[in-house]
Amino acid sequence: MGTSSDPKRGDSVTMQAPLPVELQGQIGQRLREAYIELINEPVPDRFVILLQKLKQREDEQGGQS
Amino acid sequence: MTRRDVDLETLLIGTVPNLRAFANSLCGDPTRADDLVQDTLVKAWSNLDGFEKGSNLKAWLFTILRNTYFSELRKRRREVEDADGALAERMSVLPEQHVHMDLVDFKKAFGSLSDDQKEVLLLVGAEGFSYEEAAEITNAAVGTVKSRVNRARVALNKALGFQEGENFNPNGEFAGITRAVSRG
Repeated sequence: MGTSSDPKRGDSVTMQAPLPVELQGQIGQRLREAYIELINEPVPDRFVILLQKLKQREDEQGGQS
Repeated sequence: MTRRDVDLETLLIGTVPNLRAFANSLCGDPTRADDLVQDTLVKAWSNLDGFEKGSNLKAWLFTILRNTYFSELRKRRREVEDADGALAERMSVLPEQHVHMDLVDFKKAFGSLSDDQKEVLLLVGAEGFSYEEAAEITNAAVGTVKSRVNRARVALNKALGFQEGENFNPNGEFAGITRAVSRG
């Protein structure tokens, strides 16, 4: 695979100077704060129910190995 | 052997908070995000054979989710030929909740990143995937991922106007430079 033209490389090869570590840290911290807030939201019932249904359906169809 | 691991259900439910956070951050619409997560779970369940035992379940699920998101997005863009900057309206932002100002600004800035930048920054910066894992998930080269993460950081920094030395801290090298400069 991919000797001649590697499509995965196509974009954004031009490099930009990396941000100083300290600033990376400040940004990373904000990002994680915002993200953790989302992760901490309670999981709606619909997902528990969905997985139960998927499992149930499989159990019903089950047996064929 | 149809006997699937007893706790597949438990494993999957355990990833839901992360999948939701990722979906929400990408598309900025909680309802759509939950639909994405639902699609992801259904696809994962029915394609379980495609999952290699011992590999990273979370990475696999994230791959399904982002592929679903981007293929939907392409379809939508084709359908709605973007009348009057509808696209701008669709630009996603991390949903706002009860948060302090810093984060509101941050979310706004985050919303202005491109989808490509958002996803890698979330994978690497928020979820803690390695660059290699993020490259696999997004089907891009590692170098591309690194450069996208860097661009995302630079763009956020520009939008937020962070300055070095604002927070007391870590990197001795930079502190040294700042001192040297201000001493003139």
